[in-house]
Amino acid sequence: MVEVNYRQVPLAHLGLASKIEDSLGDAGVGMSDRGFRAILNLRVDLAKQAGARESFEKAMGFTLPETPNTANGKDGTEALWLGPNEWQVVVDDNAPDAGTRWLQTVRQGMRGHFCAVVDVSNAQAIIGMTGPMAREVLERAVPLDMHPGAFKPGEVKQTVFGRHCGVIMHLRDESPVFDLYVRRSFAEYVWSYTRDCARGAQTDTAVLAG
Amino acid sequence: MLLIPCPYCGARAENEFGYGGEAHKVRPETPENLSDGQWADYVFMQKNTKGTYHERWVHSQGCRRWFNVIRDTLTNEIQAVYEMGETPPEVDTKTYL
Repeated sequence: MVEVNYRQVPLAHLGLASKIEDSLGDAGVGMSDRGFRAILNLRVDLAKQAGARESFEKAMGFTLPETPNTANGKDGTEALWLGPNEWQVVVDDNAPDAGTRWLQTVRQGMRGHFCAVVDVSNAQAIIGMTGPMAREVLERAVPLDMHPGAFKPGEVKQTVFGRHCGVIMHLRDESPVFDLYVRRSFAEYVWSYTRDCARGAQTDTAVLAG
Repeated sequence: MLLIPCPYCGARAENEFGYGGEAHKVRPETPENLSDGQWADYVFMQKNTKGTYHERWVHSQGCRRWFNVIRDTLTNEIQAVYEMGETPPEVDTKTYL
């Protein structure tokens, strides 16, 4: 278990709490630090492990998304598709021992199947992005097609963000609201890069509450 | 930039991928019996066709899976993609020499 007093979000040194605005105002992009969540990596071959689908559903209350680039979830718990036999399970639980607890839940649920469940909560930072210019600004950082017709709500895509490899982008709704899962040590890079991209797109960024 | 259709994630930009060289090279059964020359031949020599070429790619920034691509090395046209271990699909074999 991680001691509460020593735990810091990867963006803590930017002092974002004092810069939080109530609304977007004139800014085209709103960025937020989503703080802590329990994040697990699950590897299981559903085609070969009979009953694994049902076991996961029984443990978590929803099914694993099997359509590429999608997510599925329920009540603050979701699974993001990362590959044909790989998912990222994210639970909106910021307790210091959340990762360990949810790891046990999923492990016990998947008992008897050949699979791997790993707690990766502390490896990632979660940055939220929203606002009318969010797609335009992100388009400057990633090689993906960010057009609303190409990146639809509920989709999850992994890509390169500037020079940062392996960013997971989850579009939560069409407003748009993005969740970016980035490596902890790259959190500040992604944050600054996005602000730079916003400048390039001639818009401002605002810090919003997570 | 190439737009490579990953068999799992769909079409993505080339800089999300890594290149793995020629596909379907058969590893020698008994490497210990090979001469250095024969081993070097297996490790380093590739067909390097001008035209239709079977090659391996990895979607390293996406789903991180390896797969095979049949690509025309002159025009960069991607003729087919298929999973590892599958038999290559039939395509028009293009040669320019």
